[in-house]
Order: sequence, then C-alpha cells, then structure tokens
Amino acid sequence: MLLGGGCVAGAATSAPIKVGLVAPLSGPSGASGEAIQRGMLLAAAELNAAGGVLGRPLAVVARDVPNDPPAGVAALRELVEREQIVAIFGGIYGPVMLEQLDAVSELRLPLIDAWSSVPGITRNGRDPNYAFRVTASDDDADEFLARYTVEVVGARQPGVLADTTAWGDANVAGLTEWLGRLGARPADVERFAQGDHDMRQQLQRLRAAGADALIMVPDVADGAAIVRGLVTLGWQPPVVSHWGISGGAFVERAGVENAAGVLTLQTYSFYGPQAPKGQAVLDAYQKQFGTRRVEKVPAQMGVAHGYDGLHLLARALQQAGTTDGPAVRGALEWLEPYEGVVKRYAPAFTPTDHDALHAEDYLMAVWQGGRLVPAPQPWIGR
Amino acid sequence: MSPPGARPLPFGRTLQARFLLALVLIGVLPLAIVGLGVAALDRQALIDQSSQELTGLARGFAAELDVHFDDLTSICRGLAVLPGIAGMDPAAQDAVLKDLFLQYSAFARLSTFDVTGRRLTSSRAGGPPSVDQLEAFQTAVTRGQQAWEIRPALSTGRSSLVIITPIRNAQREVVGAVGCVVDMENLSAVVERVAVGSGGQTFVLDDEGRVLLHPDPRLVQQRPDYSWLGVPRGSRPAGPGTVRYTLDGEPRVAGYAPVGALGWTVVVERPEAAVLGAADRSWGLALLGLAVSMLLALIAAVSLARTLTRPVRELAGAAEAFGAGDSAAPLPKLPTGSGELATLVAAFAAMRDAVAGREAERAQLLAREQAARGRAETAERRFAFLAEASTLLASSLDYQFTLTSIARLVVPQLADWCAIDLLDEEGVPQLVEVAHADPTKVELAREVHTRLPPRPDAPNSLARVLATGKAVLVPNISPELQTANITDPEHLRLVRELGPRSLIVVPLRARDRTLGALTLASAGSGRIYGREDLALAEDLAGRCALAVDNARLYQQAQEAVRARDEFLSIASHELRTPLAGVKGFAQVLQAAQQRGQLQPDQLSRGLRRIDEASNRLNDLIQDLLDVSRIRMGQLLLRPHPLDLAALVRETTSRFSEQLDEQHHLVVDLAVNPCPLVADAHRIEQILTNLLENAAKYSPAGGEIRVRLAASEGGVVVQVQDTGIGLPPESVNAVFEPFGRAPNAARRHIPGMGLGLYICREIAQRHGGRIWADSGGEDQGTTFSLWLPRTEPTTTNADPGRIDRGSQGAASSVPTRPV
Repeated sequence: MLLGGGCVAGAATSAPIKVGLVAPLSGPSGASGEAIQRGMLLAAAELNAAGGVLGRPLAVVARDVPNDPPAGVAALRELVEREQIVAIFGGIYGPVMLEQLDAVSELRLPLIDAWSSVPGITRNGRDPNYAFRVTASDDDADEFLARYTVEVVGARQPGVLADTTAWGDANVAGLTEWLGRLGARPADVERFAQGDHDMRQQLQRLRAAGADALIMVPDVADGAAIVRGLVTLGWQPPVVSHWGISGGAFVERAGVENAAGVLTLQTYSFYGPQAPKGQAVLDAYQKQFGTRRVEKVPAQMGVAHGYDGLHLLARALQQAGTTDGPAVRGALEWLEPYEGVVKRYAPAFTPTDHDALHAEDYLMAVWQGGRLVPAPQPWIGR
Repeated sequence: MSPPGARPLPFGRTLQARFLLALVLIGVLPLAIVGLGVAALDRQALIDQSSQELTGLARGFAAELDVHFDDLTSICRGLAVLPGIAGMDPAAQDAVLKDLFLQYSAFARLSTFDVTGRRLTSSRAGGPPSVDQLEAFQTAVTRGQQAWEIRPALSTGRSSLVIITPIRNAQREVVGAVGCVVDMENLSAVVERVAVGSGGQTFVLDDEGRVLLHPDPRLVQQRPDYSWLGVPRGSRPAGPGTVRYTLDGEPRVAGYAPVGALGWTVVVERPEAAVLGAADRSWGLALLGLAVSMLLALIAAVSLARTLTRPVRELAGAAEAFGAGDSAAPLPKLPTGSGELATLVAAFAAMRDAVAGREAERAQLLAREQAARGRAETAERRFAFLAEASTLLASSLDYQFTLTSIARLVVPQLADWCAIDLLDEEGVPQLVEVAHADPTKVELAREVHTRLPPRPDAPNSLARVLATGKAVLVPNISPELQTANITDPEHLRLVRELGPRSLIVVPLRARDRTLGALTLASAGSGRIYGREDLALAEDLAGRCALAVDNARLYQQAQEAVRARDEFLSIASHELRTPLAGVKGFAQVLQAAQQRGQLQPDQLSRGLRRIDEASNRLNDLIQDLLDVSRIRMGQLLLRPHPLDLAALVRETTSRFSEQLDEQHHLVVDLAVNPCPLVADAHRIEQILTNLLENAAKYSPAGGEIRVRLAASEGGVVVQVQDTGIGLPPESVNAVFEPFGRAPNAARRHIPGMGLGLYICREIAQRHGGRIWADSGGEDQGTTFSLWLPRTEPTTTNADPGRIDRGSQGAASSVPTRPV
C-alpha cells in the first residue's frame, strides 16, 4: 500500500523527499497507524503548501505491518531501497522498532517512534543513536500511571496486569518501582498471553490479593478481554490502563457499557478547548478526512505524534540542508524550539535525550459512552 | 473618431450591430445550445451515476449488515440450544453464559430469562430484573420465535439491539429465553467501516423511518423521522432505490437499500454539491465558454467594425475633407490582408495623391515663378541701388563728398543709421559720415560711434573689422549683446537710446588694403539683416572702397605730377645756377683771352670758380643719382666696423676748413671712441649734409654745435644751428623729396630738397632715424641722427630686427637691389 503524501499546489515540483512509516494500518490496532499516517499527511500538506522542504515536496510512504519484527525490518529495507526514504516512522509495536534498530544504524536512517513507549527504542546504548521518540516512554508512563493510581485514584495496592511481551516486562518493572517510590506496592502482578479471551483467573487472583485498583498494560483485544472479564466477575475496581487500548476498536470489542470508566494514558486529546495549533490541525483533519465530530477522530495521539514528528523532522532536514542521514540525525539533536500540537518542544531532543515527551506532557483520559475523553487532571503541576 | 461631416447612424443600422447579430446567430447560439445541453446532460448523467453508486454502496452495506445480523442471530440461536441451558441450574448456567460472553466480544451483555421474563443469569450484574414488558420477549415466548428490538442501553442511555431467542426443553416447550445485547457501536462499526467520501455519510433507519445508526450520535438519540425519504412507515422498501432530498437547506442525493431480515434501511447519502461538483464545473465551464464566446463575438464585431466600418467611415471623412481642400486628412490604417478595402483605400489614396500632386506641382510652379520674380525685383532694386551708388561715387573725385552722399543713400534704403570710417595715414579710423533716418538722432549716432571701443579683440566691433578686413553680420542684437563691450556708463545710456537691432560692418577694401569700414544698423525699423543684405553691403563697400582708392590714387597722381613739375623747375634752376657760373667764367676767360687781357690771377680765379661750379653740379647730380637709386631700391651700403667719434672728428675737421668766418664749429664727443658697424661713406654723407645745411640755413652765421652722445641703446649725433629754423609743419616735410621749408624758399636759399630725404633713407637703411627739432622760424634747428649701437641691422623695412650672426655685419647687409 502506498499513500502519496500531500503533493498539493504550492509545493516545489522537484522529486519529493519521502518519509516512511512502518505501522499496523489494519487489524485491531490499525487505527493507531492510520492516525499517525493522517497526522504525517496533514503536516506534509502544510509544509508543501509553504514550499516544501529544501525546495522539494514531502511525501509519506507507509507499509502496513502487524506486530511482526522481521516483517518490519523487511518493510524498512524495502522502503529504503525502493522509495529512497530519508527517515522512518514507527507505530504502536515497540518490538518491531527494537528489531529495526540494527538496520537504521547500518543504513544511517533516523527513526522516529510516534507511538510505542518501549524505552529501549531510544535508550538503546548505541552511538550514534538514530532513534528518536515523539510519544510517551514507559519510563515516564509508568511513573505517570503509578502516580495517577496512587495520588488521584487513591489506591494503595493496585493489581498489575501485563502481557508477557518485552513491553509487559518493562512496564511491570517500571510500575513496581514507581509504586514503591510512591509508598504503595502492587497487590500482585499477573501476566497474560496476547490474544487470551479469558482473563478471569488472573483477575480473580488480583482480587484475592486485595487489589484496590487495576493497572493494566494490554493492547486493544486484550484490554477488551480484561474489561469483559471484570464484567463477568462483577468486580468493579478502578481501572487504569496503559494506552495500548486507545489504538483501535476497543469499545466495539469491550462494549460501550463495559468500557465505561476505564482510565487510559494519553499524550494528547482533541476533546475540549484546543490551543490554536490543535484547533487548526483538528480543522484540517475534519476537512481532509471527512469527519464531523471530534469523537470520530480515532487514536488522537497518533495524529498529534505523526504531525509533530514530521514537522520536527522537516525542521531537521531544513537545518541540516541535506537529506543525508547522519546530518539529519545531528540536526534533530539541536533543533530550534518548535510550537507543536502536543506541546512547545524547546528543544525536542538533546544529544543525551532522544525523547521529546515526558511525564509532565501526559494526560489521563477516560472512556465514556464509547469515546475517550479527558479525565480529571488534578496534578503534576499542570 | 467620427470624421467631420459623417452623420451618426443609429446603432441598429450600423454594420457593427449586424455583425454582432450575425456572429451571435451563427457562432454563439449553437455553441450555447450545445454547451449548455451537454452540461445539462452531463449533470443528469452524474446524478444518475452517483445515484447508482450510492444505491450500490447502500446495497453493499445492507448486505453486510444483514450478514452480521445473521451471524449475531445465529450465535444467539446457538446459545439457546446449548446443551443444558434449559434445564441447568442457575449457577452452571451463569458460568456457561460468562464463558460465552468472554468468547463473543460482539455482545455487550448476555442474559437468560425464564418463561415469565424474570432474569435468571447475566454476564453483568445489574439491569432490569424482568423483561416481560419487552415486546420481543413476548413474541419469543408466545410464538417460540427469535425476536429482537431496539432498546436504550440501561447504563449508557445509548441504543442497543436486544435479541431474544426462546429456549426450549426436550419437549420443545418454550421454558425461557436468551437475551443478547449488541451495542449500536458494534453495528455501526460495520456500516462505518468504509468511508463514503465527499462529505457523504451512511446511516441506518429502522422500519419506521427513524434514525437508528448515524455518525452523528445526536441524531441517534433524537431519532428524527426520515420516513419521508421514501421509506414507507411500517413497511420495508421493496428494494434499493434513490431519492433526492433537502437537509438543512442542502440538496442531497441518497441511495438506500433494505436490510433483509431486520426490516431496516441503509441510506448512503451525499450532498448534491459533492455529486454535482463535476457537473457544476462543466456547467460553469459551459457558461464561461458562452461568456467567452459572447465576448469574442463582441470583440470580433468590434474588430470587424474596426477593420471594415471604421475604415469606410474614415475614408468617407477623408474624401469629404479632400473635397474641402484638405489633401492630408488621415486615411484609415489597415492591417495587412484587408483585401478589397485596402484596394479601395489604395485607389482613393492614389487618386488623391495624383490630384494633390498636380495641385502641388502647380503651386510649386507658381511659387517658383513668384520667387523668381521676387528675386528679379530684388536684384533690380539692388542693381538700381548699386547703380545709384555707383553714379554717386563716380560723380566726384572728392570721396569725402561722395561718401557723405552714399551714407545718405544707404540710410533710407538699407539701414536706419549708417556710419563710414576711413583709416588715416596713421591707420586710425576717422569718422567720415554718420547718417540716421531720424535727423534728430544723427548726433546721437555720431556720439555712439565715436565712442566705440578701439580694441580689435572685441568681437563684431568696427576695430575688429578694420583689423581683419572681414565683414561682420549680427542679425539679431540682443540687449545683452548691445552693451557687451561697453563699460562707460554714458556710452551705455547712449547705446540703449539708439537701440541697434541688427548690424552689418563691412570693410572698405581695395587692392588688398583696408581703407575703412561701412557700418549699417537697423533700429526703429526692426529690420533684420541677412546674407543678402551682407552681400549687398559688401558690394556697396567694394564700390565705395574703389572710389576712395581711385580718388586717393588720383590725388597721389596729381601730387606726383606737381612734384615732378616742381622737381623739374627746381632741378633745372639748381643745375642752371652752377652751369651759368661755369658758362659765365668760361665766357669771361674766353673773352679775356680773345682780348688778350687774360690775367693769370684772373685765369686762376676763373678756373677755380669753374671747378667749384662743376663740383657743385657734380654734387647735385650725385644727389639726383642717389634719389634715383633710392627710388629704384639700389642704394647700396657697405658697412664696416668704424669709430663714429673719429668719423665725426674727421668730417667736422674737414668741414671746418671750408667754413666761413661767420660760423664757428663746436664739437662735443661725449662717446669717444664710439665703435659701430656702418657704411662710413654714407654716414659721412649724412654728417656733411647736416653740417652744410647748418651753415647754409644760418646765413647770418653763428655757432654750429656737433655733439655725439649715447642714447637709448644707440648713439645720437646732433647738429645744432642758430639759423632760420623750421615752421612746425615743415619739421617732417623737409625729409620728403623736394621738401623744402617755405622760409628757406622765401629767402632764396638754394637747394633741391633732396639731401635730407637721402639722409633719412640712409639712416633708415642703417636701422636708425633722423629727425629735426625747431622752436619755429628763426629759432634755429637741431637735426639728430640716431644709430643703433649694436651691430648693424638689416636695411629692409624692419628696422627693429637685429642680426646677431657671426658672419659679421658686412655680409648681413643685403647688397643686391631690393
């Protein structure tokens, strides 16, 4: 599938500069990839209307890849060879990007993670480090989840439920540590295999362990299964979820009624009053993709990350004056401040910190009536 | 632009209007019919096509919804026939139900009910304890058929589909029911999965035409009635169809299709604008094309008018103008390829040119004839003028008089005022005559003229004309020019009063000499002089100069004749005197001898007297020869270095021997010695002459002083006597040939008047001068000879030139006749 990025009127007529995206565009988590892609397309259209980058238009080429790391690497190499992309964006599946790290170092291609929060993507110990993140990182996400659970929800010993992937491992460790730091502790830690329908055993164990809240780290399908399990058990603890469930058809799978009240970590929401930048992007989104209501913009943070990420990359290209990977990588570490949708990046990255967003940039959202809307944010100095 | 005389036509009758009409009828109207017709057809085709597309989409979604619903009802039927559901104890039933709930994520809730509608188990706690009020439940238990209905979900207030499936026991009796709740989100995900695009949307109406599923949740909650869409209330549409309707003032096109089992209708609709965007564009394009065509037709009509009607009008105008005598009226300018029109214009132009050419030729001939006549008349006038002038000039040899006449002739005819100047012997202009048209201004003109600056460097001045011999014409004298060279305020005032406007100054030249100048000026008449006037003035000036020159030559000739007569008289008298002496003594001696009475002393005295008379004759003849040589330019000098003091001493010494007793000589040699290069013989000749004169013209005797002194870079020899002196007018005249002072003649002092002339010539040939000073008659005379102290100069007319050549003075003095 090849989606031409907005080669709109006003952009230069020379050969476009192509930016790749390897992410799921279909399936349960397809909305996340599509949201990133849409954000990138909006940014590209905006940049091209202003004359493009380095006098050339920007184009976005995407590959629909599920949580299959070897397929992700293959798609990356195919994009480099066939499309001559100058940078690659990654989506919801951290394992795919972890697998791509060797390739991007070898190809000297900047990698921008627009969704996955796996810390090891950017904190990979490589020098030079070609991976950058315009999304939440689990290191910060765990702090945020733990802090919200303890300080806002008021739980003292939440149950932790995570899948058995590396992502789950990392979050279990992070959550355990942060709960400890906050003077709480997990009542119990339960793990589940991806794709499991019946989570009742794990949930019952957590309930038995006296969990006064549930912190879960699932993807869409697993999240729906957990919520349905809670319903069948008639257990209604406060549920705080990592954001995996916001990347697809969570509510359709869980049921509107059943999903109601589940708190979910987000970095951005187009609900509610918007800063001018956010409003402009939302308007452009509605116009370009034919939606009429903000509820119909799925996986909203993907849009914001894709939009901000491509703008940051464009600025790095402009600053480097070339599409040469090492130069662009260097430029990304020394960008001028940029007023994005999610926040004002000042700066986005530094040579020692390739994460653009941190805990103070996150927000908590909640499922209501089938939609994810901002939850009370009584906190962290916001 | 309408040419003079062209009558404006009403627009309807102009060719322009007819062209426009023709173009519209021929070109634009068919275009309009075709273009607008195509656009209309296009529009209809687009609507049809879109309708079909929308209907197709609706059918597709309906089919999908149907299948999905089939799946759901199948699952529900499957749940109802699960082994043990009917007879199972509630706890076991609950466990099975929850397993199923976890397995089928399509259902938001699963419940079982007994035959009375009381809830036995549920996947989720809470909810109504009984469903006996539910129509679908009643249908299910009474008829034993699966039934469904739309209900608001209890907790969310959102619509849900509730499917009730009867549970039968082994005896096929209905003992209860399974209730499955499906969120509308679940169903709408099916419908909304494919974007309709172009601002369109998909929604689902129930069997009563109310909104069941819609992208806008508010409509789902309000459930507005859409039965007017063509979906008959209470009954399902027979099949797919298309409908156009207006929502919020926006025309829309919708395709719809019934969902088989549910009795719902899937509607896929788009704003007509989106559908007809292309058609509207083509419609707009047609209108634009029509407008452009109209514009082009207008331009073509105007252009045709420009290329046809306007040229015709202009040609008519040109013809009228030509008839009125204007042969230069502009002809229409035609672009190339104007065909017959160009031929017509060309023919007219040729005709006009031919007529105009003949007219011009005639006018030219006339003008030429008139000009010739004018020239002839002018020439005649000039000739008459010049003839009159010539007559005047020829009338008298007294050129003063004739020039006065000329001035009076010139003033009325050629100038407002006129002045004639002649150069005197010293080369100084002397005003001969001034005339002015206004007699009261004659004196003014004279005053101005005499005050003219004598500087020859002043442009256009009389002095310059006299110096260069070139005529001056100043056609227009500006006020600045009038006073350009004048510094004297009085002169300035006078010039302004005179107010010259135009000026001619022509030299009077004859035999390559400038004799004077003729000044012509215009003032009050405002006449401006031109080349012709200058030529006439030059002609006149030439004639005047000739007359003056002739008169002067005549005077000179007269004088020459008189001088010759005088010379002959004097020469014969002077020659006769010594000759008479010779003859007398010879006769006396002869007579005495014949008588025999010749005494020796008588003989001696007679011979001595004859010798003296012969010497005297010889001197006279020598003088005459010298004069002749001078006249012939053959006076030869043989300069040598000499001591002038010694020469003076020797000469005076020799002279003193023959000096009578009444005179005595005083010699003062202030410079002694006095080396000089000169012809000793000739200098001695001068000295002797001066000494003899001194003695001769002081008959009463007296002192003769000779003095040699240094003077002004040379030496001067002065011979002073106390004799009869010279009247002032003779101080210079005595140096002329035969120039004699009247007092000398009166006293019968003999002399031809050649000696001093010869002296002057010799002195001049030495680069020196000789002059006389006298207090007047009887006051004595002093003659001075000045000779340059330096080496002798050449003897030509340039006495200032000094030859410093090493060859010596002798060779530098020309010895050949000049």
